[in-house]
Amino acid sequence: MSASTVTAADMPRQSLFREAISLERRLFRAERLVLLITVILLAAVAYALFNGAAWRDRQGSLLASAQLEEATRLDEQRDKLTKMNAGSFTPTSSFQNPRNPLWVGLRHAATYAALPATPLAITAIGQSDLNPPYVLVSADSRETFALNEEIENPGNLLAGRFDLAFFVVFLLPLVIVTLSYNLLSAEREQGTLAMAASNPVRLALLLWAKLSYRAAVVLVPLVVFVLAGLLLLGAPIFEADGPVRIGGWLLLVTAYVGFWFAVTAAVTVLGRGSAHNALMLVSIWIVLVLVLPTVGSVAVNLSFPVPSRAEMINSLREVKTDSARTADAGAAKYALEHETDRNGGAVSDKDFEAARKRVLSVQLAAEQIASTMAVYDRQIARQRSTIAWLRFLSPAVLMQDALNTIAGTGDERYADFSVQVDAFHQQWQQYFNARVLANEPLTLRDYDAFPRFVYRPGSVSTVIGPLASALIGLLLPMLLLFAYAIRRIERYPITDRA
Amino acid sequence: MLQATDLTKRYGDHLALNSLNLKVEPGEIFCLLGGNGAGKTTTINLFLNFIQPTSGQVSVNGIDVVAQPLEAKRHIAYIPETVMLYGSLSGIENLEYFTTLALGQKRPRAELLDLLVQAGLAPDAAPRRVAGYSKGMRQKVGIAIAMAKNTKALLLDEPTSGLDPQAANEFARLLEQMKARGVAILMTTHDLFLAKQTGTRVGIMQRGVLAATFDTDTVGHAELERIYLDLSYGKKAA
Repeated sequence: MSASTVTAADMPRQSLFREAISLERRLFRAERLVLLITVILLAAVAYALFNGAAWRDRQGSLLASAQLEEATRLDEQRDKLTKMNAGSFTPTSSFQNPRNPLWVGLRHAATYAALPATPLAITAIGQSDLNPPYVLVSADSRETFALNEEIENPGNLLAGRFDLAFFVVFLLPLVIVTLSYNLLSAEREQGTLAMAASNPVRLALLLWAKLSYRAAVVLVPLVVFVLAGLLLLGAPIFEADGPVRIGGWLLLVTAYVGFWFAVTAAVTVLGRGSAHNALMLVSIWIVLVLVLPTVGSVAVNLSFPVPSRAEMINSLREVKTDSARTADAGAAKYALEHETDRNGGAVSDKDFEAARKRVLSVQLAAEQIASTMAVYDRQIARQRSTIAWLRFLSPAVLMQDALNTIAGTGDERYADFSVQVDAFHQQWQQYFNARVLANEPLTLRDYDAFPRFVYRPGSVSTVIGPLASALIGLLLPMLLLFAYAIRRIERYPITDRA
Repeated sequence: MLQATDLTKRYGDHLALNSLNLKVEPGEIFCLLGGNGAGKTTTINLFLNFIQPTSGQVSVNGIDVVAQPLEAKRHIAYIPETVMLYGSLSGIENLEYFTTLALGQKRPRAELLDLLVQAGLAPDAAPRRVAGYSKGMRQKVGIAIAMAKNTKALLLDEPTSGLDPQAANEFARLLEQMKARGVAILMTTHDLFLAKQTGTRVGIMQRGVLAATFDTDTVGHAELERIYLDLSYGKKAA
């Protein structure tokens, strides 16, 4: 027997947690698990961020092309107008006339309203594969841009893109489940749990050490790789609201990882075997990540069906055709009532009549179009408000939604962009229609004064609000699950024979 | 030191232990004999608080095991039938881990190596991974863990099962040393020879009941065997 007089009854309990963590570290090192997880995370994060950056660059390139096309188009009109003023150019039709406010407003000067990417845009493609980052605004009616959704490969839409949000929301829980399905059950099955539990140590401490070490093994490399990747790929995370967004991303991912470890803890303390735990955890993953979001989506679509897009477009065409007919009569009446306006006409009387007719047609159609589109908009709004509540049923939906918000590719930002574009569209119509109705020809000075769209980003609260609600939605069940695990663990069966 | 009072454990309709009364004093080795399912391991598990008693009391050094399990475990060391260790760690790393769990702080490596040698493990085996250890070598690490705790009570659940005669003999010698130090030892075993050789008292369990107890110096080996077989299997000794 050792000469030491130290006994278990005398010793302080200061470093049990540290020792339990150290054991996990040694066991993981012996199995090279840390290396394996690090390689998996590195590969997944690199591929996901590369995809996100490629998507951002593609959209940026499309926008740049569109803006170049707009600038070229506008320069051509200016050149024509300059030559026309100098008497070296005579338009052969009303459409070609750079002074004609109707066609300039409708076509030649139509402008792109763009939604700029946020600093974290590459972390979540989100709704950006359905909602284009820019729309072409003209003096035509609203539906010409409001229904201008991106035409995307249906295969891509069905499968989704492998971006960082996809990895975090869908695959990271599987990494956690793989690491944690046998937290205590493996030790019980091997017999080492009985050896440990014969000592004055709480099982909760051992469980907590195992969870903490595994959480660190997952989170630390993930965060390091994501931050490094963002910097390497040129994401401006220190500009504008970048720090808030990256801070929010880190909090969200930590909470989501914590939630899944809480699930594994709750399953662990039920005291079943490793195989049973694995099956149960995978089933929970299927329900929370796959089934509930699908059921929720179907329920929302059934509760608040959106009109068929094709039917609505046909309906809008009919409305516009009817309006054009009505406008013929209206234009004749207008011409009689405004006889004197003809004298100051900028363009020919014939063109002037046609232009007025077109403007009246658009104005007449606008009201009916608005009522038709209101049905669509109202149903979409109802769907969104229902989903805002339903997402709390699935942490995966909650997380995906919040990551989209952080990345600036969520529904709310596109809705805000849409509102701003609508307001700009009205401003554009007023600018050109007033000149059409007054028969005022456009001058070079007018060209310089065309309305320009500048997106006004929402305040930081538009990010913090959804982030806070998502964090509550993740942390609350996490705490409840941990509380359950702590309460139940003291009844954990130490041996199979027990 | 170790005491069970009217201790009963029931699994549904099955009565695993029925009103066990048992007391093991310091410097005493109490050997529990009995066939499979007699309730020996259940008794050990109740002393370790691995399972909760249906009724009755179990205490270590006067501490109620159910009410104060951590406090009670400070006074107990335990060696199971098969000492299960972490195969990817070395013998000394396993000893270091379990000793730290027991004591709340690390002991110097040299001291731990000394314990392993005292338990009978060759010094060159200590840094090797346990995955390559024989059952006897694992048992020796288990003995070192128990020695490191330096407790007043020791629970042994068929500790020599599967050990070769030399290892079993070394183990018996270690038990004698602990007994001499005043450790109270409760050991379940099928080994009548070991029980007679090392035990102070012997108890024979049958279907959850402590059917008989003897002072080992009052019965001969053949007599003990006859009573054991008679009580356990209802047969007369040959």
